[in-house]
Amino acid sequence: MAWRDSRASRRKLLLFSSSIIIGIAALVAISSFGQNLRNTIDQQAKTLLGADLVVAARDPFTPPMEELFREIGGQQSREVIFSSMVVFPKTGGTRLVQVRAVEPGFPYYGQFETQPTAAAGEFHSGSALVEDTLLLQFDSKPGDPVKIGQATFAIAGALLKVPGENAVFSTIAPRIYIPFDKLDATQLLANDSFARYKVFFKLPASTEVERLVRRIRPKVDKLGLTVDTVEERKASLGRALENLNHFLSLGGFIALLLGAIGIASAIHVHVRQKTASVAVLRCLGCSVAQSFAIYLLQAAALGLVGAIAGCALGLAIQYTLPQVAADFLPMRVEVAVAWAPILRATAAGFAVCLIFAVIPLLGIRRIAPLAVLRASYEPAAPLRDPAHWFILILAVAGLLWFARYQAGRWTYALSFAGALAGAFAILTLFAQGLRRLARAIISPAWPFAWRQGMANLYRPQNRTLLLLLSLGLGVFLMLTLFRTSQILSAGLLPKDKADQPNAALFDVQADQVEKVKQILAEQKLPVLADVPLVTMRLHSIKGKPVRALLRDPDRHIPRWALRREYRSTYRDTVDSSEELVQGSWPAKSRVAGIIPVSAEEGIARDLKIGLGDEVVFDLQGIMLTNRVASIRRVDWKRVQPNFFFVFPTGALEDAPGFHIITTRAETREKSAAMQKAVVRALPNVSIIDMALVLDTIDALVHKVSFVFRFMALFTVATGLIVLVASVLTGRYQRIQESILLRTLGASREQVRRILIAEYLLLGVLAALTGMILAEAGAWALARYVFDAEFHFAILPMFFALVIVSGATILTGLLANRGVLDKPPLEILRSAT
Amino acid sequence: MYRSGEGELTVLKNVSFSLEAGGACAIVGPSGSGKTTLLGLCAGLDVPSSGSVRLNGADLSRLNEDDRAKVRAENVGFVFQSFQLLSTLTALENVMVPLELRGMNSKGIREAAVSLLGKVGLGERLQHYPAQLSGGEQQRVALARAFLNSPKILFADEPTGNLDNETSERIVDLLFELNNSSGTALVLVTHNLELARKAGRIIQLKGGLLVEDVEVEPALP
Repeated sequence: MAWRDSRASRRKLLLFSSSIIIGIAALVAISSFGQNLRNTIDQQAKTLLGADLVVAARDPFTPPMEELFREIGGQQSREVIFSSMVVFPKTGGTRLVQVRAVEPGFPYYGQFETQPTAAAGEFHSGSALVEDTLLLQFDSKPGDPVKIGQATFAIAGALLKVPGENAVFSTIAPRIYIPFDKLDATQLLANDSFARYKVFFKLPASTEVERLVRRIRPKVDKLGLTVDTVEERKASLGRALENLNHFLSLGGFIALLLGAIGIASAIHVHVRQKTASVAVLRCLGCSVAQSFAIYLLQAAALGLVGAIAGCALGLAIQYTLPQVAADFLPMRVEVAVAWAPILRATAAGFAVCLIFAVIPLLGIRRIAPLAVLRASYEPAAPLRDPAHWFILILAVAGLLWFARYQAGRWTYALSFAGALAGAFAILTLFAQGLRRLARAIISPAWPFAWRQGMANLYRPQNRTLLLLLSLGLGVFLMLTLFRTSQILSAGLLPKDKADQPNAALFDVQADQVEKVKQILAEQKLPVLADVPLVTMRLHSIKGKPVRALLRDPDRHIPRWALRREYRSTYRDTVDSSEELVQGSWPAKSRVAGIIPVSAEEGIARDLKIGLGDEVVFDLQGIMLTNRVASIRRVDWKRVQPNFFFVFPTGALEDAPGFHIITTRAETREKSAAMQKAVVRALPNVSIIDMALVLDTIDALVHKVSFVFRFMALFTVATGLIVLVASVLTGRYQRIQESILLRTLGASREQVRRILIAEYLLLGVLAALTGMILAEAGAWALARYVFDAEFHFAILPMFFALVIVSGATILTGLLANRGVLDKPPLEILRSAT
Repeated sequence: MYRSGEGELTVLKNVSFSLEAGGACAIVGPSGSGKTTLLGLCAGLDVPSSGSVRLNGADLSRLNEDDRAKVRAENVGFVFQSFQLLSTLTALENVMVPLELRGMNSKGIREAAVSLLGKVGLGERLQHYPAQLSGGEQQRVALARAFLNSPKILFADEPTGNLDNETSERIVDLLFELNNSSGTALVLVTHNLELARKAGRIIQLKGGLLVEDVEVEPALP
C-alpha cells in the first residue's frame, strides 16, 4: 500500500531525498577519512619522529648530558637548529630561514623526500638541502650556491618533505639542511644563543621506550632537557587530527541537518496533499496505526535512498579529502574504504532524516475520517499531541548525541548545538519578520508582478521559511568564513603605518651596533629603535625555586612560562606600544640589591605574580633579585621588540647580550638591498621583514580558510538542492497558476516576471539574512576571539547579494522550465 | 483537429455560428461531442486547424498566444466547473487579477471588486482563501472575477456542475442577472437542458457536428 500510494509523488519525494545526500556524503567521507588517518598514524608512527626517542636542549650539551646520552645508548644522530639569514648569491636574494645541521643517520624511520631523490643522502658529503619554496622564490636549482654565514654550500636538491612535519610548518620557517660537520664553517653559532640542540636515538627493537623515558625522567628534568617519543607524538598528533576531523564533521552535520529540514518540509507538504487519501482510507476502516505506517514506510524508503546515494557520493568525496587537508598532515594518507565508520555515518544520517520526517508525519494520526466530507477540516493542533512532544524531545536528544559523537566532547557539542539553535532561531525569526514586513509594505501601487511575487512569500503553503533557512544558513556560513579570513589577514596583522618600523635586525652583537647603524645610514634608512637585549631564565618566584615549582602538580603555572628563556631589556621610559596599568616605572638601579622591574600583564597573570612580589632571574650564573614595581599592558601586534620584563637602566648594561635595531624601508626593493648589505657584512645578524611576515600569515590564512570553505561548500550545495527540490515540488501548483493566469489574459512575460520577482525576493532576503548574521558573527569573532579590529565590508556583501539572488533566480527559472509552455486550454480539460 | 494517440482526430467539422453583443447561447451535447473544444476556440484558448474565430472584430486564428491573451484580458470573462481560483490568493485578490493583469492598479479596481463581491453576497469574506470557502462561495468569487473587467463576452463551462441544486440556482440567477445588467454576451456549455433553455438559444453538437441551432423560449424566472 505504501508503494502504491507513493506512485503519484514518488519522483517529487525522491528529489527531496537528494537533499540529505550531501550531508550524509560529507559525514561518510569525513569519518572514513578519519579512520584512514588513524590507520596511517598507526602504520607510520615511527616516521612521525624519524627516531625512537628525541632529546633536546636549549644550550650546547654539557658533560653530564653527554653522560646521559651514553647511558641511553643505541644509534645516535645529532642536530642543531637555529635561525639565520641565507644568501642566494646567484640572484643576491636574502631570507631568514631555519638552518638544521644534522648528522647522517636521521631519519631512522621514513625518509627526506627530495628532488632529485638521491639528494637526501648526498647532502651529507658537504652540500645543502633547500626547501622547495625557497628555490622557487630565489630562482635557484640544484648545483647553485647558497651562502649560510661564512660558508657557501652547493644545493644538493629541493627539500619536499621531512618525516613528521607538515607543509604549514615550512610556510612559517623554510628549512635548509646542512651536514653537521660543516656547522662550524658557518661561524654562526659562536655568538648565537637561540639554537636548539637535539639527539635522535634509534634504540634496539627490544627497548621499551616508555619505560626507558620513565627511568631517565629525573635526570632529564634536572638537566633541563626535553624528551619526545613516538607514543607522545602520536598522541598529540592524534588529538590534533581528531580535532580537525571533528571540525570537518560539524560542517557535514550542518549540511545533514539542513537536508533533514528539507525532508521534513517535503513530508509536511506530502501529508497535506494526502489528507484526503488518508481520510478515505480511514473511512474504509484503515486504523490510525496502519495509515501512519504507510507513510512512515514511505519516509523510511525516502531516507534510505538518500542515505545510500549519500554513502556512494561520500565514498567518492573521501578521495579528495587528503588533498584538502594535505598541508596540515605530516604524512601521506592512504585512502581505503573504512566500512565501519562509513556504515555508522550512513546509519546516523538515516536516523536523523527519519526523526525529522516523523515530526510532520505525526499529523497523519490526527486526520479524522470527517475530512472526507469537509475539505477545510483542520486536524487537531499538534501541541496537544503527547507523541508530538515525545518525538521532538527524542529529536533534540538524538541531535545532541550525534553532535557529541561528531564533535568529540560534550562541551563542544552543547556549544555547537547552542550556536546552531541560535542561528536557526534567528533565521526563523528573521523569516517571520520579513514575511510580516512583506505583508505590511506591499502596496496596491506596485506593479502586479512584484506584488504577486512578494505576496507569494507569505501566502498559504509558502516555502519562505525553508528556503530562508537553507539558503540563509549557507550564505551565513560562507560569508562568515570569508569575512573572518579577511579580518584575520587584515585586522590581526600589524598595520604598516608610515611612522612605524617594518624591519627588525636582531642578534646584533654589542660591537656590531655601530656597523649596522652605518649600513643603514648608507642605505638612507632611519634607525627607529636600538634596543639592548639580555637573555635570562627564571630561578625562583616568591621564594619558590622554579625546579620545585616544576615538580609541583598543583602549581597552576604553565610549564613554558617557567622554563622559557626571557629576553629582557632595560630603559628608563614607557614605550609607545605600552601602557602602565599598575605601579610606577622602575627607577634607575644597580646590580647589587633588589632591582625593581616591570612585568607584562599577561605573563604576570601566568606566573601568578603581582606588585611587590619577588622574582629571581638567573643571568648566566648570576642571580638577579627583582621586585615587581609595575605592570604593563603591551600591544603585541606592533612590529617592534616587546618584552615580558623590562629592567631599569643601570642594572644590565654590563651583562652579555645583543641588540635589536628597527628601521623602515619604504619599498620592498629598498628592504632587499638593505638586507643584502647587512648579511654580507654581518652574516650572524638576522632580519625580520614585515612584508615577509605579512606574506607568511596571508599564506597561512589562505590554507586554513580553504579547509573552512570546503566545509561550508557542503552547506551551500545542500541549500541549492533544497531550493531545487522545493521549487520542483511546488511546480504542479505553479503550472496550475500559470495556466489560470494566462487564461485570464496574462502574457507569458507577465507570468515570467512574477516568477522572477518571487525568486529575486527570496534570494535577496536569504542573502540579507545570511549577511546580517555573518557580519554579526564576524564582529563577534573579531571582538571576542581574535581581538582584531572589525570593519564593515560593503563589497563582499554586494557580491553575496548578487551571486545568491542570481543563483536563486536561475535555479527557480530552470526548475520551472516548461511551466510557461503549457497551453491555457488545459484549464478546460482539467475542469471536466 | 487534434493529435490524439496514434493519429489525428478531427474534433469539430464545419461548425459555424455567431453571437450578437449582449446575446446569450448554450452549447449542449453528449460527452465527447466537442463542446469544450468549441469553447476553447471561441475564447481564444486555442486556434483552429482551419477556419476562423472572430471575437469583437479580432481574428483569433491569426493571433499568437500573447496577443490572444491580450484579447482575453480585455474582452473575455470565464466561469469554470471547478471554479479555478488561485489557491494562494484571497477572494478579493482573485477577483482583482484580470484588471491587474491589464496593468491597472488604481484603488478603483479594489472598490469595484469589493462591490462585486458584495453583490454576490461575499462582502464579509473578502480576505478568505479559496480553501476556506464552500463550493458555492468559490463559484461566486469566480463570477465576480468574470464580471470585474466588464467583459464583452462571458464563457461559462458547466458553471453549476460541481454544485448542489439550491446553490446552482443561486449561481445561475446571479449569472443571468449580471449578464443582463452589464450587457455581456454569454456562452454557456452545459449538460443541463433546463439551464440551457434559460439562455434562449441552444446550439447542439454531436460527434463534432453542429446538429441544431435553435431559439427557445427563455425560461427566466
